Amino acid sequence: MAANFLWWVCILLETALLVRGISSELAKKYRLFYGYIICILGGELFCLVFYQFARDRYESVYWYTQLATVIASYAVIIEILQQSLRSYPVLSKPVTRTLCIIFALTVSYACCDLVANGFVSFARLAADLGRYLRFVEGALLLMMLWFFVRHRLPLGRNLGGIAIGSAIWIGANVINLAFLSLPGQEFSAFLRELLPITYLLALIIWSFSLWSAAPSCAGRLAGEPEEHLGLLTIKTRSMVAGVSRRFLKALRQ
Amino acid sequence: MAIITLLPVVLLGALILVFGLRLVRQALVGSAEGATIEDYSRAGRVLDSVLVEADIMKKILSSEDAYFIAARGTYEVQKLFHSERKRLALRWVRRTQAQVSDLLKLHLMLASYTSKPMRKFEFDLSIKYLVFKLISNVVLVVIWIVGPFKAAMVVTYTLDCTGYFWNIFRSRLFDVQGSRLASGPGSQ
Repeated sequence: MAANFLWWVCILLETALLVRGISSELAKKYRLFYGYIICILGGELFCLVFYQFARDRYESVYWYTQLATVIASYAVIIEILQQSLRSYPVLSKPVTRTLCIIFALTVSYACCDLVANGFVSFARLAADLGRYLRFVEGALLLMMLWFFVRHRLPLGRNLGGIAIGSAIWIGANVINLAFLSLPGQEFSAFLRELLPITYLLALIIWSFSLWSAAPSCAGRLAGEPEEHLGLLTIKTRSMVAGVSRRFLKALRQ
Repeated sequence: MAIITLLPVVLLGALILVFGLRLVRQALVGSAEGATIEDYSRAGRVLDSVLVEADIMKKILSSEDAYFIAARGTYEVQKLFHSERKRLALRWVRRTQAQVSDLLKLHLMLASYTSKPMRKFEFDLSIKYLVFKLISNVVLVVIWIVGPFKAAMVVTYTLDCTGYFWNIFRSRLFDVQGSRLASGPGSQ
Protein backbone atom coordinates (compact mmCIF):
# COMPACT_ATOMS: atom_id res chain seq x y z
CA MET A 1 0.00 0.00 0.00
CA ALA A 2 2.74 2.44 1.02
CA ALA A 3 4.85 1.38 -1.97
CA ASN A 4 1.95 2.06 -4.36
CA PHE A 5 1.31 5.43 -2.76
CA LEU A 6 4.98 6.35 -3.09
CA TRP A 7 4.97 5.24 -6.70
CA TRP A 8 1.98 7.41 -7.55
CA VAL A 9 3.50 10.40 -5.75
CA CYS A 10 6.65 10.01 -7.87
CA ILE A 11 4.59 9.88 -11.07
CA LEU A 12 2.74 13.03 -10.01
CA LEU A 13 6.00 14.83 -9.25
CA GLU A 14 7.52 13.78 -12.58
CA THR A 15 4.44 15.08 -14.39
CA ALA A 16 4.52 18.34 -12.44
CA LEU A 17 8.23 18.70 -13.20
CA LEU A 18 7.62 18.21 -16.91
CA VAL A 19 4.66 20.58 -17.05
CA ARG A 20 6.56 23.22 -15.11
CA GLY A 21 9.64 22.75 -17.27
CA ILE A 22 7.62 23.32 -20.44
CA SER A 23 5.82 26.36 -19.03
CA SER A 24 9.01 27.99 -17.69
CA GLU A 25 10.95 27.06 -20.84
CA LEU A 26 13.56 25.27 -18.79
CA ALA A 27 12.78 22.18 -20.90
CA LYS A 28 14.37 23.97 -23.86
CA LYS A 29 17.51 24.78 -21.89
CA TYR A 30 17.90 21.35 -20.27
CA ARG A 31 16.60 19.12 -23.07
CA LEU A 32 18.57 16.05 -22.13
CA PHE A 33 17.46 16.16 -18.50
CA TYR A 34 13.80 16.54 -19.36
CA GLY A 35 14.21 13.80 -21.96
CA TYR A 36 15.42 11.61 -19.09
CA ILE A 37 12.33 12.47 -17.03
CA ILE A 38 10.10 11.64 -20.00
CA CYS A 39 11.95 8.34 -20.37
CA ILE A 40 11.39 7.49 -16.68
CA LEU A 41 7.73 8.50 -16.79
CA GLY A 42 7.13 6.63 -20.03
CA GLY A 43 8.84 3.53 -18.63
CA GLU A 44 6.74 3.60 -15.46
CA LEU A 45 3.48 3.92 -17.38
CA PHE A 46 4.59 1.20 -19.80
CA CYS A 47 5.37 -1.09 -16.86
CA LEU A 48 2.02 -0.25 -15.29
CA VAL A 49 0.18 -1.35 -18.40
CA PHE A 50 2.06 -4.67 -18.54
CA TYR A 51 1.58 -5.19 -14.79
CA GLN A 52 -2.16 -4.78 -15.16
CA PHE A 53 -2.75 -6.69 -18.42
CA ALA A 54 0.23 -8.99 -19.06
CA ARG A 55 1.82 -9.78 -15.71
CA ASP A 56 3.76 -12.78 -17.03
CA ARG A 57 5.85 -10.50 -19.22
CA TYR A 58 6.18 -7.74 -16.63
CA GLU A 59 9.58 -8.89 -15.32
CA SER A 60 11.35 -8.78 -18.70
CA VAL A 61 9.72 -5.43 -19.59
CA TYR A 62 10.83 -4.02 -16.26
CA TRP A 63 14.53 -4.77 -16.97
CA TYR A 64 14.31 -3.33 -20.49
CA THR A 65 12.86 -0.08 -19.12
CA GLN A 66 15.53 -0.01 -16.41
CA LEU A 67 18.24 -0.35 -19.08
CA ALA A 68 16.66 2.44 -21.13
CA THR A 69 16.56 4.64 -18.01
CA VAL A 70 20.23 4.01 -17.22
CA ILE A 71 21.20 4.87 -20.79
CA ALA A 72 19.08 8.03 -20.59
CA SER A 73 20.77 9.01 -17.33
CA TYR A 74 24.10 9.22 -19.20
CA ALA A 75 22.51 12.05 -21.13
CA VAL A 76 21.94 13.87 -17.82
CA ILE A 77 25.66 13.65 -17.04
CA ILE A 78 26.48 15.02 -20.49
CA GLU A 79 23.94 17.80 -19.93
CA ILE A 80 25.45 18.80 -16.58
CA LEU A 81 28.96 18.80 -18.02
CA GLN A 82 28.02 20.75 -21.13
CA GLN A 83 26.13 23.39 -19.17
CA SER A 84 28.75 23.76 -16.44
CA LEU A 85 31.62 23.96 -18.92
CA ARG A 86 29.80 26.36 -21.22
CA SER A 87 32.29 29.09 -20.25
CA TYR A 88 35.15 26.73 -21.10
CA PRO A 89 34.50 25.67 -24.71
CA VAL A 90 38.04 24.30 -24.97
CA LEU A 91 37.07 21.65 -22.42
CA SER A 92 33.41 21.08 -23.20
CA LYS A 93 33.71 19.29 -26.54
CA PRO A 94 36.57 16.94 -25.70
CA VAL A 95 34.89 16.01 -22.39
CA THR A 96 31.57 15.21 -24.13
CA ARG A 97 33.40 13.21 -26.75
CA THR A 98 35.29 11.30 -24.06
CA LEU A 99 32.03 10.49 -22.26
CA CYS A 100 30.50 9.10 -25.42
CA ILE A 101 33.58 6.96 -26.05
CA ILE A 102 33.54 5.63 -22.47
CA PHE A 103 29.85 4.78 -22.85
CA ALA A 104 30.44 2.93 -26.13
CA LEU A 105 33.41 1.05 -24.65
CA THR A 106 31.38 0.06 -21.59
CA VAL A 107 28.54 -1.31 -23.69
CA SER A 108 31.00 -3.26 -25.88
CA TYR A 109 32.88 -4.68 -22.92
CA ALA A 110 29.69 -5.60 -21.06
CA CYS A 111 28.19 -7.34 -24.09
CA CYS A 112 31.38 -9.31 -24.76
CA ASP A 113 31.64 -10.31 -21.12
CA LEU A 114 28.04 -11.42 -20.90
CA VAL A 115 28.18 -13.38 -24.15
CA ALA A 116 31.38 -15.06 -23.01
CA ASN A 117 29.73 -16.13 -19.74
CA GLY A 118 26.82 -17.68 -21.60
CA PHE A 119 23.61 -16.15 -22.84
CA VAL A 120 20.64 -16.80 -20.53
CA SER A 121 17.92 -14.44 -21.66
CA PHE A 122 17.45 -10.96 -23.04
CA ALA A 123 15.98 -9.78 -19.76
CA ARG A 124 19.02 -11.06 -17.86
CA LEU A 125 21.27 -9.43 -20.44
CA ALA A 126 19.44 -6.12 -19.98
CA ALA A 127 19.69 -6.38 -16.18
CA ASP A 128 23.42 -7.14 -16.21
CA LEU A 129 24.18 -4.50 -18.82
CA GLY A 130 22.23 -1.95 -16.80
CA ARG A 131 24.32 -2.83 -13.76
CA TYR A 132 27.63 -2.38 -15.63
CA LEU A 133 26.49 0.90 -17.09
CA ARG A 134 25.37 2.15 -13.68
CA PHE A 135 28.78 1.42 -12.14
CA VAL A 136 30.62 3.26 -14.90
CA GLU A 137 28.14 6.09 -14.69
CA GLY A 138 28.80 6.30 -10.96
CA ALA A 139 32.54 6.58 -11.58
CA LEU A 140 32.04 9.32 -14.18
CA LEU A 141 29.67 11.18 -11.89
CA LEU A 142 32.16 10.98 -9.03
CA MET A 143 34.91 12.49 -11.20
CA MET A 144 32.57 15.24 -12.28
CA LEU A 145 31.48 16.03 -8.72
CA TRP A 146 35.10 16.01 -7.55
CA PHE A 147 35.89 18.52 -10.30
CA PHE A 148 33.00 20.80 -9.32
CA VAL A 149 33.80 20.68 -5.61
CA ARG A 150 37.54 21.05 -6.10
CA HIS A 151 37.29 24.05 -8.37
CA ARG A 152 34.19 25.47 -6.68
CA LEU A 153 32.50 25.84 -10.04
CA PRO A 154 29.34 27.90 -9.63
CA LEU A 155 26.46 25.83 -11.02
CA GLY A 156 23.45 27.95 -10.13
CA ARG A 157 20.18 26.75 -8.64
CA ASN A 158 18.88 24.91 -11.72
CA LEU A 159 22.00 23.04 -12.74
CA GLY A 160 23.12 22.57 -9.14
CA GLY A 161 19.78 20.96 -8.30
CA ILE A 162 20.08 18.58 -11.25
CA ALA A 163 23.61 17.61 -10.19
CA ILE A 164 22.72 17.14 -6.52
CA GLY A 165 19.57 15.13 -7.25
CA SER A 166 21.48 12.95 -9.71
CA ALA A 167 24.27 12.40 -7.19
CA ILE A 168 21.85 11.24 -4.49
CA TRP A 169 19.88 8.96 -6.84
CA ILE A 170 22.86 7.40 -8.64
CA GLY A 171 24.89 7.05 -5.43
CA ALA A 172 22.05 5.18 -3.73
CA ASN A 173 21.58 3.05 -6.84
CA VAL A 174 25.22 2.05 -6.98
CA ILE A 175 25.23 1.01 -3.31
CA ASN A 176 21.99 -0.90 -3.79
CA LEU A 177 23.32 -2.75 -6.84
CA ALA A 178 26.40 -3.77 -4.88
CA PHE A 179 24.28 -5.46 -2.18
CA LEU A 180 21.66 -6.79 -4.59
CA SER A 181 23.85 -9.77 -5.38
CA LEU A 182 23.89 -10.84 -1.70
CA PRO A 183 20.52 -12.56 -1.24
CA GLY A 184 19.08 -12.96 2.22
CA GLN A 185 21.01 -9.96 3.57
CA GLU A 186 18.83 -7.84 5.80
CA PHE A 187 20.78 -4.77 4.81
CA SER A 188 20.21 -5.54 1.13
CA ALA A 189 16.45 -5.78 1.75
CA PHE A 190 16.56 -2.53 3.74
CA LEU A 191 18.37 -0.75 0.86
CA ARG A 192 15.80 -1.99 -1.62
CA GLU A 193 13.08 -0.48 0.58
CA LEU A 194 15.03 2.77 0.85
CA LEU A 195 15.59 3.18 -2.88
CA PRO A 196 12.12 4.53 -3.79
CA ILE A 197 12.39 7.05 -0.95
CA THR A 198 15.78 8.15 -2.30
CA TYR A 199 14.24 8.60 -5.73
CA LEU A 200 11.43 10.64 -4.21
CA LEU A 201 14.04 12.83 -2.49
CA ALA A 202 15.85 13.34 -5.79
CA LEU A 203 12.54 14.28 -7.45
CA ILE A 204 11.79 16.78 -4.70
CA ILE A 205 15.23 18.36 -5.16
CA TRP A 206 14.74 18.55 -8.93
CA SER A 207 11.24 19.99 -8.54
CA PHE A 208 12.42 22.61 -6.07
CA SER A 209 15.47 23.67 -8.05
CA LEU A 210 13.74 23.60 -11.46
CA TRP A 211 10.47 25.24 -10.41
CA SER A 212 11.58 28.45 -12.07
CA ALA A 213 14.47 29.58 -14.19
CA ALA A 214 17.31 30.93 -12.06
CA PRO A 215 19.99 33.25 -13.42
CA SER A 216 23.20 31.52 -14.33
CA CYS A 217 26.23 32.26 -12.24
CA ALA A 218 27.83 34.35 -14.99
CA GLY A 219 25.83 37.11 -13.32
CA ARG A 220 28.68 37.70 -10.89
CA LEU A 221 30.75 39.31 -13.64
CA ALA A 222 30.82 43.08 -13.38
CA GLY A 223 30.30 45.14 -16.51
CA GLU A 224 33.48 47.16 -16.14
CA PRO A 225 36.31 46.65 -13.67
CA GLU A 226 36.30 49.13 -10.83
CA GLU A 227 39.29 51.41 -10.76
CA HIS A 228 40.77 50.30 -7.44
CA LEU A 229 40.42 46.62 -8.39
CA GLY A 230 42.24 47.25 -11.64
CA LEU A 231 45.04 49.05 -9.78
CA LEU A 232 45.27 46.20 -7.30
CA THR A 233 45.62 43.71 -10.15
CA ILE A 234 48.39 45.76 -11.77
CA LYS A 235 50.20 46.20 -8.45
CA THR A 236 50.05 42.46 -7.64
CA ARG A 237 51.25 41.52 -11.10
CA SER A 238 54.22 43.86 -10.96
CA MET A 239 55.10 42.64 -7.46
CA VAL A 240 54.93 39.01 -8.56
CA ALA A 241 56.99 39.74 -11.71
CA GLY A 242 59.65 41.54 -9.64
CA VAL A 243 59.90 38.77 -7.08
CA SER A 244 60.19 36.06 -9.76
CA ARG A 245 63.49 37.53 -10.92
CA ARG A 246 64.89 37.25 -7.37
CA PHE A 247 63.70 33.65 -7.04
CA LEU A 248 65.22 32.55 -10.32
CA LYS A 249 68.47 34.24 -9.27
CA ALA A 250 68.41 32.41 -5.91
CA LEU A 251 67.81 29.05 -7.61
CA ARG A 252 70.71 29.50 -9.96
CA GLN A 253 73.16 30.28 -7.14
CA MET B 1 29.54 -10.49 -6.51
CA ALA B 2 32.36 -11.41 -4.14
CA ILE B 3 32.94 -9.37 -1.00
CA ILE B 4 36.26 -8.17 -2.41
CA THR B 5 34.52 -6.53 -5.37
CA LEU B 6 31.64 -5.35 -3.18
CA LEU B 7 33.76 -2.93 -1.16
CA PRO B 8 35.00 -0.72 -4.03
CA VAL B 9 31.48 -0.41 -5.40
CA VAL B 10 30.06 0.54 -2.00
CA LEU B 11 32.91 3.01 -1.60
CA LEU B 12 32.08 4.48 -5.01
CA GLY B 13 28.44 4.95 -4.03
CA ALA B 14 29.37 6.43 -0.67
CA LEU B 15 31.81 8.89 -2.26
CA ILE B 16 29.16 10.00 -4.74
CA LEU B 17 26.82 10.75 -1.84
CA VAL B 18 29.57 12.54 0.08
CA PHE B 19 30.48 14.76 -2.85
CA GLY B 20 26.80 15.37 -3.54
CA LEU B 21 26.41 16.65 0.02
CA ARG B 22 29.53 18.78 -0.36
CA LEU B 23 27.95 20.28 -3.45
CA VAL B 24 24.87 21.07 -1.35
CA ARG B 25 27.06 22.76 1.24
CA GLN B 26 28.89 24.66 -1.46
CA ALA B 27 25.61 25.82 -2.93
CA LEU B 28 24.30 26.99 0.44
CA VAL B 29 27.49 28.60 1.68
CA GLY B 30 29.03 29.34 -1.71
CA SER B 31 28.48 33.09 -1.95
CA ALA B 32 29.93 33.64 1.51
CA GLU B 33 33.07 31.73 0.58
CA GLY B 34 33.68 33.35 -2.75
CA ALA B 35 37.18 34.74 -3.33
CA THR B 36 37.54 38.35 -2.22
CA ILE B 37 40.02 41.08 -2.98
CA GLU B 38 41.61 40.31 0.37
CA ASP B 39 42.16 36.67 -0.69
CA TYR B 40 43.75 37.85 -3.91
CA SER B 41 46.09 40.27 -2.07
CA ARG B 42 46.90 37.61 0.50
CA ALA B 43 47.84 35.17 -2.26
CA GLY B 44 50.30 37.73 -3.64
CA ARG B 45 51.81 38.33 -0.18
CA VAL B 46 52.15 34.61 0.57
CA LEU B 47 53.89 34.03 -2.76
CA ASP B 48 56.28 36.86 -1.93
CA SER B 49 57.09 35.46 1.52
CA VAL B 50 57.62 31.91 0.16
CA LEU B 51 60.31 33.20 -2.17
CA VAL B 52 61.99 35.37 0.43
CA GLU B 53 62.11 32.49 2.90
CA ALA B 54 63.40 30.08 0.24
CA ASP B 55 66.21 32.53 -0.47
CA ILE B 56 67.12 32.83 3.20
CA MET B 57 66.82 29.12 3.93
CA LYS B 58 69.14 28.26 1.08
CA LYS B 59 71.81 30.38 2.76
CA ILE B 60 71.06 29.11 6.27
CA LEU B 61 71.25 25.46 5.21
CA SER B 62 74.38 25.74 3.12
CA SER B 63 77.30 23.64 4.30
CA GLU B 64 79.74 26.53 4.44
CA ASP B 65 78.62 27.57 7.93
CA ALA B 66 78.80 23.93 9.07
CA TYR B 67 82.41 23.63 7.85
CA PHE B 68 83.32 26.92 9.58
CA ILE B 69 81.84 25.80 12.92
CA ALA B 70 83.42 22.34 12.58
CA ALA B 71 86.84 23.90 12.04
CA ARG B 72 86.69 26.44 14.84
CA GLY B 73 83.96 25.58 17.33
CA THR B 74 84.00 23.36 20.41
CA TYR B 75 81.89 20.21 20.56
CA GLU B 76 79.10 21.99 22.51
CA VAL B 77 79.00 24.86 20.01
CA GLN B 78 78.83 22.41 17.09
CA LYS B 79 76.04 20.48 18.80
CA LEU B 80 74.09 23.66 19.51
CA PHE B 81 74.63 24.91 15.95
CA HIS B 82 73.39 21.64 14.40
CA SER B 83 70.41 21.52 16.74
CA GLU B 84 69.37 25.10 15.92
CA ARG B 85 69.76 24.64 12.19
CA LYS B 86 67.84 21.36 12.31
CA ARG B 87 65.01 23.09 14.17
CA LEU B 88 64.97 25.90 11.58
CA ALA B 89 64.95 23.46 8.68
CA LEU B 90 62.07 21.44 10.15
CA ARG B 91 60.07 24.58 10.83
CA TRP B 92 60.70 25.86 7.30
CA VAL B 93 59.57 22.62 5.64
CA ARG B 94 56.40 22.52 7.76
CA ARG B 95 55.70 26.19 7.01
CA THR B 96 56.26 25.62 3.29
CA GLN B 97 53.82 22.70 3.39
CA ALA B 98 51.21 24.94 5.03
CA GLN B 99 51.82 27.78 2.57
CA VAL B 100 51.57 25.52 -0.46
CA SER B 101 48.30 24.07 0.91
CA ASP B 102 46.95 27.56 1.47
CA LEU B 103 47.97 28.67 -2.02
CA LEU B 104 46.47 25.57 -3.62
CA LYS B 105 43.18 26.27 -1.92
CA LEU B 106 43.24 29.87 -3.17
CA HIS B 107 44.39 28.72 -6.60
CA LEU B 108 41.36 26.49 -6.95
CA MET B 109 39.04 29.14 -5.53
CA LEU B 110 40.31 31.70 -8.03
CA ALA B 111 39.89 29.25 -10.95
CA SER B 112 36.39 30.53 -11.66
CA TYR B 113 37.49 34.15 -11.57
CA THR B 114 39.81 33.98 -14.56
CA SER B 115 38.90 34.92 -18.07
CA LYS B 116 41.11 32.31 -19.70
CA PRO B 117 39.57 28.91 -20.36
CA MET B 118 41.13 26.04 -18.47
CA ARG B 119 43.51 24.41 -20.87
CA LYS B 120 43.50 21.05 -19.16
CA PHE B 121 42.16 19.42 -16.10
CA GLU B 122 44.23 20.26 -13.09
CA PHE B 123 44.54 16.58 -12.25
CA ASP B 124 48.30 16.80 -12.80
CA LEU B 125 48.53 19.63 -10.27
CA SER B 126 46.61 17.60 -7.70
CA ILE B 127 48.85 14.60 -8.26
CA LYS B 128 51.99 16.72 -7.97
CA TYR B 129 50.63 18.27 -4.79
CA LEU B 130 49.97 14.86 -3.27
CA VAL B 131 53.47 13.74 -4.23
CA PHE B 132 54.86 16.93 -2.70
CA LYS B 133 52.95 16.30 0.55
CA LEU B 134 54.23 12.73 0.70
CA ILE B 135 57.85 13.54 -0.09
CA SER B 136 57.97 16.65 2.10
CA ASN B 137 56.90 14.46 5.03
CA VAL B 138 59.75 12.10 4.11
CA VAL B 139 62.03 15.16 3.99
CA LEU B 140 60.96 16.02 7.54
CA VAL B 141 61.90 12.54 8.73
CA VAL B 142 65.25 12.61 6.90
CA ILE B 143 66.15 16.03 8.31
CA TRP B 144 65.19 14.86 11.80
CA ILE B 145 67.38 11.78 11.51
CA VAL B 146 70.49 13.01 9.68
CA GLY B 147 70.22 16.80 10.01
CA PRO B 148 69.82 19.45 7.32
CA PHE B 149 73.44 19.56 6.08
CA LYS B 150 73.61 15.88 5.18
CA ALA B 151 70.12 16.13 3.72
CA ALA B 152 71.01 18.87 1.23
CA MET B 153 69.47 16.97 -1.67
CA VAL B 154 66.07 16.76 -0.02
CA VAL B 155 66.19 20.45 0.80
CA THR B 156 66.92 21.13 -2.87
CA TYR B 157 63.90 18.96 -3.75
CA THR B 158 61.69 21.06 -1.48
CA LEU B 159 63.01 24.23 -3.07
CA ASP B 160 62.40 22.87 -6.58
CA CYS B 161 58.85 21.84 -5.71
CA THR B 162 58.21 25.22 -4.16
CA GLY B 163 59.43 26.78 -7.40
CA TYR B 164 57.12 24.60 -9.45
CA PHE B 165 54.03 25.47 -7.40
CA TRP B 166 55.12 29.08 -7.30
CA ASN B 167 55.02 29.24 -11.11
CA ILE B 168 51.58 27.65 -11.23
CA PHE B 169 50.12 30.00 -8.65
CA ARG B 170 51.79 33.01 -10.25
CA SER B 171 50.08 32.19 -13.57
CA ARG B 172 46.73 31.92 -11.80
CA LEU B 173 47.15 35.32 -10.15
CA PHE B 174 47.99 36.86 -13.50
CA ASP B 175 44.82 35.44 -15.03
CA VAL B 176 42.45 36.60 -12.29
CA GLN B 177 40.05 39.34 -13.31
CA GLY B 178 39.76 41.74 -10.40
CA SER B 179 36.24 42.76 -11.39
CA ARG B 180 34.94 39.31 -10.51
CA LEU B 181 36.19 39.36 -6.93
CA ALA B 182 33.83 40.18 -4.10
CA SER B 183 34.61 43.08 -1.78
CA GLY B 184 35.95 41.67 1.47
CA PRO B 185 36.35 43.37 4.82
CA GLY B 186 39.91 44.39 3.97
CA SER B 187 39.28 45.43 0.44
CA GLN B 188 40.01 49.10 1.04
